Amino acid sequence: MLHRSKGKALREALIEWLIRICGISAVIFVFAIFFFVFWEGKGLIFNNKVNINTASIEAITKVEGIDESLASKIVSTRSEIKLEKRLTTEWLLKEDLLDEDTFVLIEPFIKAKEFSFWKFLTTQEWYPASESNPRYGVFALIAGTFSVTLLSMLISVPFGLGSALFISEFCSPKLKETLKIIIELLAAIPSVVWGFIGLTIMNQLIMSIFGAQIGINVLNGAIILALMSVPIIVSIGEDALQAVPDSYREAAIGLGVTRWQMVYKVLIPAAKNGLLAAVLLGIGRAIGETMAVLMATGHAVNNPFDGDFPFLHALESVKTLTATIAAELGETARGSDHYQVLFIVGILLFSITFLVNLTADLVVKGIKNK
Amino acid sequence: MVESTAKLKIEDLKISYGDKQVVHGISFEIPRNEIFGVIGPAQSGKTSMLKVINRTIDFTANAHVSGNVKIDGEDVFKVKDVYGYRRRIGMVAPLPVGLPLTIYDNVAFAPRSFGLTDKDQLDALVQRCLEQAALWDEVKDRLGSLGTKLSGGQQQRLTIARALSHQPEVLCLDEFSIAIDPVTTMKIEDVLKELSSEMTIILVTNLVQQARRLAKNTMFLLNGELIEEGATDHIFSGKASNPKTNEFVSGAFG
Repeated sequence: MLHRSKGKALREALIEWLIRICGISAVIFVFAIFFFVFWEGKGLIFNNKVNINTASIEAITKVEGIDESLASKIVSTRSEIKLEKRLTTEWLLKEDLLDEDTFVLIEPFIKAKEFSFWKFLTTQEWYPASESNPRYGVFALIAGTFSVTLLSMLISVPFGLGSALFISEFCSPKLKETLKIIIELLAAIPSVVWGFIGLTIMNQLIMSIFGAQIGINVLNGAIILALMSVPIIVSIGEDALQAVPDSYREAAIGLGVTRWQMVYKVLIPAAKNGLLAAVLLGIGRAIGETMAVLMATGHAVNNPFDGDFPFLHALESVKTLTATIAAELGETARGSDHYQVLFIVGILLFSITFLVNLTADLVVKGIKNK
Repeated sequence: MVESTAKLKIEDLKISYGDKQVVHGISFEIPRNEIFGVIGPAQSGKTSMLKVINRTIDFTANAHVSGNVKIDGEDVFKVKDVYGYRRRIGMVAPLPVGLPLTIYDNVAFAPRSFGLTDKDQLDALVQRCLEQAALWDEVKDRLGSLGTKLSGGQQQRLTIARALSHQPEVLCLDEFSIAIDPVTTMKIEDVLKELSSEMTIILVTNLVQQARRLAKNTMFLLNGELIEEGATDHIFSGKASNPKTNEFVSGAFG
């Protein structure tokens, strides 16, 4: 009888564990990231009655009856205890810093404001840096992200799937190799370069072709994003089509149907899961892309959707969720309200991509069970 | 064999894939409306020959074909409508290939793509083809489920039904019975005998006894060479002209 040597068994057990750790680490990382983002943003979600005022000494001094020393006392005391208790009206009065009349005057600057998650989601006013009245409404940012993603998908999905089909089924082997290499090169271009192209070339083109006043807008961002997602859709879509066994092609062609009928009726149904995955990864890239959209969309708070035809105004500048985080997080004090709001925006992004993935899973399952 | 009865006439057919030649200039005729057996061990060029006949070899990138293949006197490499030509040839591949469509659509795929849309006619056609392939009784209650979910043997019969769906003049069967149980094989063989009165059937098989049961004429291929061709009775009589034929049909090799 043959015995496995102990050393070999140990080595295999070790390798098995290493592989297991690699697998589990993905889960751990996702949870750790989610936990961190949630932790940084939790203050605003749970203490819904918080002071989200960041008025400076200069702003408070302008109120009648408050001199510079009192103003600096208010501000410094406030920032000392800010993270612990939050500055509330009750606290100010109790500490005898102010009398009631003066309090009424500076109330707009320091009063406790309610942070409502519903208002955060549904209002369009994004003035996080306002001294007297900061407002955090992300609806326009969500609309910005969605408008750019939607338009870019309208461009990249037909182009991407079409190219994948062409490369996989219709072109000569020689052309196929060339195209594949070029498309891989396209995928390797850094996003800041795409942003630069958007800022310079596309900007000029859009202004001269559409007569728009600014060329950095939804359309610009969408075209840039489409150019970035097409290589992903093509390479994954092409893999999915290549994975369909040749026997399917031969069987269908042997029936005397045309190539297109074969592609449409046999190949696409056989590869639909892979093609769907290709589209979804493209969407994922479009939603998550930051640098290029920051440079190409104009970065102005705007809701490009409205009830009037054509519903999406592609020539308006927008600000997206990702670009907002990238542009503003560096400017905020750690732990400040603005900082926390940006983390809530991060949670929002997380939720959106999670929903996209979940929908994809359900759709794929639905197709499988049919 | 009289010239006018030949359905397919093949002259000096050579097939090579890249540098490797797999068929070395074979010539033969396949008579109209009978079962023509092709026997021979693996790698003898049987499947490549079928691919030439229905011109799916066009899709093999490095394949090179020379020689003449004529159907009813017409050169198959000069037909104008290659899709229309393929419809005249039914092909059953050795491995069962249920297309990722429903059972009904698998069979209705070809007729639909030629423009048959009438529901009643399609229904009748699907039923007839599935009956001929001895599959109807097993699937008549679940025509809407996926063809790829059938068992291997059922998929193989589905392939036969599909090949019959475009009412071909020539039916090529490439090892059609390897995934099918003997009883069902017998049923299909009976159907083939019936069909042979209206279409030419090329039966490529490893099972020499199947060729003996069904074919009127049989051809023996070995390593891309035509060893012997003639009446099946003669090939299997043990008195064939070429000793290799006698060895092969008696099971000495292959």
